[in-house]
Amino acid sequence: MTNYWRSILQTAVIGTERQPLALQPDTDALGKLLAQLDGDKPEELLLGAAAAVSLYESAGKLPKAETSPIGELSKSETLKRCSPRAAQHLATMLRGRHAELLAEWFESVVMRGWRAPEEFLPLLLQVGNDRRELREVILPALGERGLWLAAQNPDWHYAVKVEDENVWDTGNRQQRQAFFAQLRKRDPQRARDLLQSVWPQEGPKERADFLAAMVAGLSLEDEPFLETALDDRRKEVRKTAADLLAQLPQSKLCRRMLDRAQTLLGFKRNLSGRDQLEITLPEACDKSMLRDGIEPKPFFHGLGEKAWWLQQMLAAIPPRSWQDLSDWTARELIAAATHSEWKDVLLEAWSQSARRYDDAEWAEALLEELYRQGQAVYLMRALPEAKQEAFVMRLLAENPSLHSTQPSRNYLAVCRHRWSEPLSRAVVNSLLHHVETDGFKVDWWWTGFLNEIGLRLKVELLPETTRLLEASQPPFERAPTLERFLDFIQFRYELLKEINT
Amino acid sequence: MNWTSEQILGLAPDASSAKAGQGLAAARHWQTLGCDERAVWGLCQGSGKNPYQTQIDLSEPGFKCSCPSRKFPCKHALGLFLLLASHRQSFTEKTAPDWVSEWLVSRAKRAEQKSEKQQAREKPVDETAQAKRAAAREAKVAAGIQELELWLRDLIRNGLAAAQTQSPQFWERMAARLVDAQAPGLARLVRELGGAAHSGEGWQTRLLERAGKLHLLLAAYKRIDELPEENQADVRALIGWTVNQEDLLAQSEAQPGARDKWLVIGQRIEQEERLRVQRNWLWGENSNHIALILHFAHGQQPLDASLVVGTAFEAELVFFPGTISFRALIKERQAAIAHFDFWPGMERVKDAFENYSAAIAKMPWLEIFPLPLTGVIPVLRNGVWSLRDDESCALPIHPRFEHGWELLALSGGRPITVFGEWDGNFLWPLSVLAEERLVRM
Repeated sequence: MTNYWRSILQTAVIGTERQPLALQPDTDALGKLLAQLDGDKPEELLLGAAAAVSLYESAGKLPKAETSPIGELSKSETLKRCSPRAAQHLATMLRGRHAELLAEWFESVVMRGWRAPEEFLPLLLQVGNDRRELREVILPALGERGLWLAAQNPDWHYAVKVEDENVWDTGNRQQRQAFFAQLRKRDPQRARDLLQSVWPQEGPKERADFLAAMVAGLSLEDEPFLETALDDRRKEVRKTAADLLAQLPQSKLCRRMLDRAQTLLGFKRNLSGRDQLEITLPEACDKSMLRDGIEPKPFFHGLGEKAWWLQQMLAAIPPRSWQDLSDWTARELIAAATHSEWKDVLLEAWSQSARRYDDAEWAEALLEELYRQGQAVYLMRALPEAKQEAFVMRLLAENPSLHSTQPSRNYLAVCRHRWSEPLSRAVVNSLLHHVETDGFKVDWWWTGFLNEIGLRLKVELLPETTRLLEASQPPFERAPTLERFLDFIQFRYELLKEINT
Repeated sequence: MNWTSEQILGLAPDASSAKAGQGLAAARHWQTLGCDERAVWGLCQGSGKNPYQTQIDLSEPGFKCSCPSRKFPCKHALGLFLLLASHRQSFTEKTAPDWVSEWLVSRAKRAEQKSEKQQAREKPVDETAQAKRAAAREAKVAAGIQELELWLRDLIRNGLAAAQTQSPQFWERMAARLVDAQAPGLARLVRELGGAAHSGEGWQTRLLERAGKLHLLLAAYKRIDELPEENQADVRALIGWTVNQEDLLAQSEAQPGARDKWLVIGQRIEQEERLRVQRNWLWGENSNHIALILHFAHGQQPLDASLVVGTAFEAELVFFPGTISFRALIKERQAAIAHFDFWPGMERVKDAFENYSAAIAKMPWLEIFPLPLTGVIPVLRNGVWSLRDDESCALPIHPRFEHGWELLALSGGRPITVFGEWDGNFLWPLSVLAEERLVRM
């Protein structure tokens, strides 16, 4: 800014009426120009001088020198940039259309050795920030450039591998949590050692959060530490420790639970050859039980305290233990339980423990018993994919309907992997059944569910599925829901074809 | 040339058309899909008995559909176009059916009629009547200018601080008077004064700069007859006289326009009240000239879609008169080609500043200056983005530009080529060339 401009501006702000502009032009070029302005009209003098000086300054403006160092360059990529059409599919989903397929896009692209184009990186890092569930699939598709970029924006630090243990000592709560969770995956022992070294100084909330993160890489080596946490002042910490120990079938906690419970269950074969379970309820909930995470008061009405204690004990014991103790099979034990006075308590507790210990044999046997009541859907999670599929296919063979009143619908919904050809065909067959019966006319029954199906059907079957469904009904009779489903699977098919061919 | 889905969706008149168009972009919605060198067509079953006939003239592109929708292009045309972009193989090459070829012929005829009309205009019109109308407008404008001079003088006499406390009507009233006086250009400049007065910290400088330039414009108009012809054109355009486009094209019959291979290097769309303005920047491969093609759309109307960033075409352009005249009309063009191996750019920020200085020396009211730069690195310092050349000279990026991180992602810390609009203070990046790929911002 020249001195000219300062005095012109000052005068202009207060107005020439109060104080006319006093210009004292120099003898330089600008001064000579200003000297030619007519000084008799104060306003015109000011405006003319303002125009001349501001233009003089704009025209003479020079770029600023900026010498702060430029950071490191991003490393060269090992993955190739995805094809332009794959990028278009990505853009379509990011605009919100068929966004359910984002995860599959990232997985497939990385499998192919591709990555997302650079101009998408800021948006994708933001999506990863907002939607935790997508982080794991997004990150590998960002390439070296994505990691390089993330390191420069504090909002995206979740994407950067925290190698530096200094964060543990100096970082804020979130940074330390993220560091601990990552380290626990990489080196569980080191993570535990670090946590133990600062354990007494951490606040109760931090202790509970760090402990919960120990679920990754959990092993018997963690037991001594977790045992001490059972004596923590804070209930939340004790509870988390007990939950973790109850996931280790060899743990002392499981052993203690079994010691308490084994005298309560008696196995008798009566004269007619029928198995009988004799149940004795625990008398009291002592301190050691409380220490092992037993809740003294029932969460639900209708369940007595003693039955509630028994249920919690059994839920923490690997179901296989009862086979060893009784010499009966899982099916025999379950059959005996159904004749017991405490049937509901036993089946509920065993269902929980079958799920907790991922015991497929028990889960299957319990499903058999419980599926008609529709409350056993979560047992499916303890089954391997092939068994899940076999179970659902059996239901669909009995009745192809996927109506919301059918148990098959809920069981199919928990098959969250990509389906094999036989299950896919069975489901397509069900869809054709519905075209003929209700025609998908009630929108809200179907909209979300059809998308779930579209996500999981075997890709190779999609063109055939489209053909079959289209042939089953003239276009003008087709329900909008089904139309949207056809669009969805078409898009999925094209998206994957672009990546995989 | 190959259209991308993004480009096609950019043609949609609104979001619901775009969505419906995407829904129709599957071969199963269409019968008898066909194409030839110039057009594509197909039949789409709608709610009516007969399927709709949808067709696209690819040379421009132009759209036609027999559906009753008043949107343009309609969802069927968008769907057909999107399908072409994603599934070329669904279209079989064949001779166009009558309903397509007839339309193409009628389009060609219309274009011919247009040029005939232009020729017809060369016939002498009633010159006395025209001169009378022109003189009446000059008088009106002169009266408006006189009023504006008084108003501006009062503004300075009372001081900018007093003006800033005025209600919005203070500026709007003067602007409306100038619209009535048939000087819409001046009206816009007065509205901008009002905008500057409420532009936050540093408003005094911005307001005074604009007031000074407005004063300079009025002074120039007073002695317009003494100015060279090109400067006269600048001043008249700023005050609000428009150049009749047909006259401009007709004049160019006598002297040919600028023939070149033109590359579309940037595009920006801005909303001005109910009007959308699309600025297309073109670069001539041989002439090294930059041209600006403006398109306008009111309300829901779609914007022109014939210029696609990153494509080039042979064309004859006619420039508007003026000292620094970027603005041009396309007189005649060939089909677009996607392949190009030239891209403009200055390597030094200093050169860019020098060019800008030379331009405002000729045309002090210049508002937007096209700036192609090559070999610059995006840098973020203290929350401010800039582009830095290898002499460590920095060009600041506009604070409202939201895609600084995208620039950085494309660069990876390495030099890139950027084209943008420079307003004397800040650059607004419009396109980036990095690793041989052009990306629109």
